[in-house]
Amino acid sequence: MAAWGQGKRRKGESALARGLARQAVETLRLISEGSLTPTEHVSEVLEVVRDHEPQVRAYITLRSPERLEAEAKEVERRLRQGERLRLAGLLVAVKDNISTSFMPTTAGSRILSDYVPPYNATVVERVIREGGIVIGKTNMDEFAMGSTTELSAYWPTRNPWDLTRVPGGSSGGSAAALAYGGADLALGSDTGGSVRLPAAYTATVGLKPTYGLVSRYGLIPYANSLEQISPMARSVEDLALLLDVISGHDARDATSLSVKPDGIYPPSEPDLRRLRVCLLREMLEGSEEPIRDAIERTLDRLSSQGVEVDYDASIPSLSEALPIYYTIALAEAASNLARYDGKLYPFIVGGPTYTETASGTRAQGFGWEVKRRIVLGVMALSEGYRDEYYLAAARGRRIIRDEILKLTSRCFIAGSVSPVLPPRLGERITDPLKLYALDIYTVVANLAGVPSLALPVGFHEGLPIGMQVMGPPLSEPQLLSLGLLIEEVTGLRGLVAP
Amino acid sequence: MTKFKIGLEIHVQLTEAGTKLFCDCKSNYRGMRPNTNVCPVCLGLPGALPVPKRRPLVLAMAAALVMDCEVPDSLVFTRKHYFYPDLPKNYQITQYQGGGGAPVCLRGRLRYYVPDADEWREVRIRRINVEEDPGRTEYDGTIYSSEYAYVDYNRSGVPLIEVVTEPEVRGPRDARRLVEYLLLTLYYIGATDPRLEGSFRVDANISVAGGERVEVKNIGSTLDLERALSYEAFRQGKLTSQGGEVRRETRGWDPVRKVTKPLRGKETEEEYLYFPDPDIPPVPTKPLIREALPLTLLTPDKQMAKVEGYGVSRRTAWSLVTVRPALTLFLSSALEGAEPQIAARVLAIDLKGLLRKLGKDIHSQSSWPPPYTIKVISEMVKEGVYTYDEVKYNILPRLAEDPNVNINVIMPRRASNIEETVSAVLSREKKAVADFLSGKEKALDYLVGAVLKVRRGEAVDPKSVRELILKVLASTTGDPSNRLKRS
Amino acid sequence: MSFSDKELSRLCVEVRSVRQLLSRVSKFKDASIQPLYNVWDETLDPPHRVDEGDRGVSLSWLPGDRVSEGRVRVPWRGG
Repeated sequence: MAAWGQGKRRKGESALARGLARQAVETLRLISEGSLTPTEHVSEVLEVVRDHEPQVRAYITLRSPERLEAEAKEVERRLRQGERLRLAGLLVAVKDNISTSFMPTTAGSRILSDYVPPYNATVVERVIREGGIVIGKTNMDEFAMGSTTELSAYWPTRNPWDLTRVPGGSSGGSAAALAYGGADLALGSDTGGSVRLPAAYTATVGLKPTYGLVSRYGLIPYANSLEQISPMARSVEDLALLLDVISGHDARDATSLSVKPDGIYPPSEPDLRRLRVCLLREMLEGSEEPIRDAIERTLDRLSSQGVEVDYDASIPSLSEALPIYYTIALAEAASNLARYDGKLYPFIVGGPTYTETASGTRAQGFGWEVKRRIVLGVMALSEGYRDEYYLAAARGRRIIRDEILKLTSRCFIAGSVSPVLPPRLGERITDPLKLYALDIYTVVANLAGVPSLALPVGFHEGLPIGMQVMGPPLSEPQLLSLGLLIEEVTGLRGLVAP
Repeated sequence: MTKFKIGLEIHVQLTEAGTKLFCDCKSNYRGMRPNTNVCPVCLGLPGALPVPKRRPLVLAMAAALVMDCEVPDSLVFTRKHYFYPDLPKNYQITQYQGGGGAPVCLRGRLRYYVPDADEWREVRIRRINVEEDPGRTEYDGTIYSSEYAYVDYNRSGVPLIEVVTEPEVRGPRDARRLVEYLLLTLYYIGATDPRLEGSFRVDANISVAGGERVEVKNIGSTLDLERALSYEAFRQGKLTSQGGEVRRETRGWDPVRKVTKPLRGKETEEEYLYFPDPDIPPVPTKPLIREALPLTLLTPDKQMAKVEGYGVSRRTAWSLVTVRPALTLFLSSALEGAEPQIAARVLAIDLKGLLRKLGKDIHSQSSWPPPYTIKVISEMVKEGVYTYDEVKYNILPRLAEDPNVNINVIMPRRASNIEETVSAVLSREKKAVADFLSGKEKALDYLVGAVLKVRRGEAVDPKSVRELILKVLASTTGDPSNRLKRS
Repeated sequence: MSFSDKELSRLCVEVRSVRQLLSRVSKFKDASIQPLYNVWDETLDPPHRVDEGDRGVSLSWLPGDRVSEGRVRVPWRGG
C-alpha cells in the first residue's frame, strides 16, 4: 500500500487484519473453495454491523438474523445442487428507493412509511438470482434529494471515517455500510452524483453507469431522465462484478439499452499506450487545495506509468451545468411526486375531502427540502415559465451533452467529485444553494448520460478524498480498467473505516 | 334559424387492443372483480415504468391514416398533471404537442356518410392523440355528497384515442352521424367494439353566433349527443334572442332528465404542467404505418363501395355496412352466386327488421343464417319459384326464429309439390282418368286444367304438368304410352 | 400542499434564491437548439408483450380499512 495520502489514520489496515475488509471477490473465492460458508459469512458481517450500526445508522431496515441465515442456507442448498452463482452468499446493501417485495421501501420519506411494494426491482431480481443476499435497506436523503443523507425523514447517517461528518448523499447509507464493513456490495442510485459523492466521502468506489445500461424498473423516481441505479463497492473489481450482474437490457424499462459492452467483469489490465486522460479545469479549479493536490498527484503517477495526461482541458459551458441540472431534476421530481396523495399508499392524513386529504398528506408526509423542490419544479413547468426554465434547460442540456461526447471521444475526463472534504453534520443543509453546490462536478455525467467512476485517491487529516473519471457512452470496461490502474498507483483498495 | 358552431372531442377506448397501453393487463376489463386487472405499471406504483405496447399504437396509427392525417416521424408522449382519485400517478400519459409531445395525428379529415340525406360529408380533424384511461369511481349516493370515492383501477391504463374535430359540424344530427361513422370505422379496422358499455364518450363544444363557447362533457351515447346538442342549441338560442349572454362554461348532460346542467368548479384554466414523459423515448412511426396499412383497407366506405359494386343502392349498402354480420353474409353469399339485389334486400331490410323485432342481437354472427341459405332464397325468387312476398312473410320469419333451419325443407323446390297436386287431382277426377284411359284425349286437357287450377297464381308450366300426368298414369295402370303415341 | 404563514415566508426567501440560480438557464431560451429530453434521443421499437410472467398484483400493501369491496377508498365529499 502506498505510504502517502492516507495521513496518520491508516486504520483501514487494522480492519483488514481483522478480516472485515475482505473484497467481495475474495469472500466469493473462500465460499467457492468451501473454507467459508455463507452462513458463517452472514454471522461475521452481522457482528460488524452490531458494532458499528448504532453509531453510523446506515440502514433504515435491517433484515432479521434469522431471515439472513435462512437466505444463506438457501444459497448453500443451491450451491450443493451445482448452481453457479456469481454472487453466492455475498451481502448486498440496497438503497431504500429500490423496490423490494420482502422489505419496506420508503425512499427515506415519511410519505412512504410502511409501504411494502408488491414487486422487486429488476436489479434486486438479478442480485437474488445470482445468490446475493439483501442484508437491508439503506438510509438516504428523502427521495434522493440531498447530498449528505441528513435529509432522510428518519435520521442522518454518519460518516464511519469521522462520526461528526456526513457520508455524502443521497446514497450515504449504502456508502457508510460499505465503509464500516457492514456489507460486501451495495446498490445506490445516482441522479446528480448520489453514489459518487458518498463514495468520495467514505473512500469507497461508486460508478454511475451509462444512461440505460442498468434497468430503472423498481427505482422510485426522482428525476427519470438523469438517474441510474449504480453499483458501489470497496474495490474496482468488486464493483465490476456487481455491475456485470445488474446491467443489460430489461424489457420493462423503455429507456433500457439493448446493448451491453463485453468485458465488464473481470476488468482487464489497461492498455497504457492507448489511455488518455484529460483533467478538466472546470471540474477541479473550485476545489479545496488538498483535493486538487491529491488529484494532481494521482494523475502524475498515472503519467509516470505511461498514460498520456492533458492537464488543461476545458469546456466553458460547464459553468451552467448546475442550474441546467437542477431545473430539469426539479421539474421531473415535481411530476413524479404528484402520486403521493394518500390514496394508494399507507401514509395518509385524512381530511373530509379528497383535496384536503391530498394536501394534508403531502404537507405532513414530505420533508421541507422535498416541498421546496416541488414548488420550484412546478414553477419550471408552468405555462408562464416553461420556456425560460424547463425548455431552456433542455436546450442547454444538449449543448453540454454534445461537448462531453466530443471530449470523451478523445480522452477520459478526470476531475473532482466534490469541491470540499466531507462536511460536518448541519454544515451544508441550512442554505439550499450551499447544498446544491456540492453536486457541481457530478451532475455533468448525468446531464450527458455518460459513465463516471468515483474512487479514493487520498486522505487529508483522516478524511477521504475522491476523484472521478468519465468516459464515452458504454465505455464501462475501459473505465474499470483505468480504475484498476488508479487503485494500483494509489494503493487505496478495500478500505474499511476503524 | 340561429347559426351555431359545434366541435367534438371523441374519446374511444381501443377495446380490441388486447392489452393496456403500457402494460400487459387486459384492455377489456368488463365483468372483472374490482382491482383484479391491475399491475404495478397501471397502478402507477413508484418505480414501475410504462412501456408502450405495439398493438394499441398500430390501431391508433390506422385511425390516423384513415383520417388522412399528418403523421409525425416519431410519437412523443407527454404527462398531463391533475389530482384526482381515479388517476393513480396524478398525471395522465397523453400526447400534447403544446407540451413537447407529438400526437399520432395532426390536421386530418373524416368523411362520413349521412343516411338521412344520403350523402357524404367531411369534417376536418384537428388532432388525434393516444392516451391512458383513468380508473372508475363509484360513490355512495351522489358524487357531491358521497363521503368516500371508491376506485376500481381495472380500467386504468386502457388505451384511448382522443379525436378532436374543428368546430365546423353542422348540427346535432350531423354530430351524431359523424360519431356513429367514426365508431363504425374504428370497429371495422379492429380497434374497438363500440357496443361495449363505456367504450366511448364525447365532449362537445357548441356556440351560437355572438355567444361564448359552452362545453358539454361526458356524453355516453350518440343519441344523447344529438339530444344534448339540440338542448344546448335551443337553450343558447333562446338566451341570446331574449337579449341574454351565453357565458363560457362547462356543463354536464343528464341523460335521465334530458337537460344539460352547469358543472361545479373547474371554471379556472387549469395548469397541467405538460412535459415529455422522460420514461418513454420517442416512438418512430414508420414501422407502425407499415403494420397499420392493411387495416385501413377495411373501412366502411370501402365496404360500401364493394356492395355498391354489385349494383346495390347506397342506402341499402349503408344499411348492410352498419351491421357487420349482415355485410359479411352478403359478400360471402354473393360470392357463392346469390343474386345481389335480392340478397341485399333480404339482409339489409327484411331479415334485419325481423331479427330486431324478435329482440335478437343483429350484431352477432349467430343470429344470421349461413350464406347458402341466402343463396337459395335469392335463386328461388329470381327463378320465380317463390315470390318475394312469399319469402318475406313465410320464409324469413322462420329463419329469424332459427337461422340454422334447413332452407331446403322450409323452402322446397316446387317441382315435387306439383307431383303431389297431380296425384291428388288424379285420384279425385276418377271419371276423367277413365275417360282418358278409354281413349278420350280431351280428358287429358281437362286434367291439366284441373292441376293448374289448384296451383293458381303460380308459375307452373302446363307442358310439364301434362308430362307428369302421363308419367303417373303409366306407372299406375301399366303402359299408357301406346295410347299416348296414338294420340 | 399547504403551508403555514411562517413556512411560507421561509419558502419565499429560499425559492427566490434558488430561482436566481435556476434562471441562469434562460440564456438558452432562444437558442436554436432542439431541447434534449431523452439523453440519447433514443427511439423505441415498441414490443408486443413486455414480459414473460404475470405481473398482476392485489392491493396487499394497503391497510384493510382503506379498501372496500376490492375498491380503493378515498376521502371525497365532493372532492
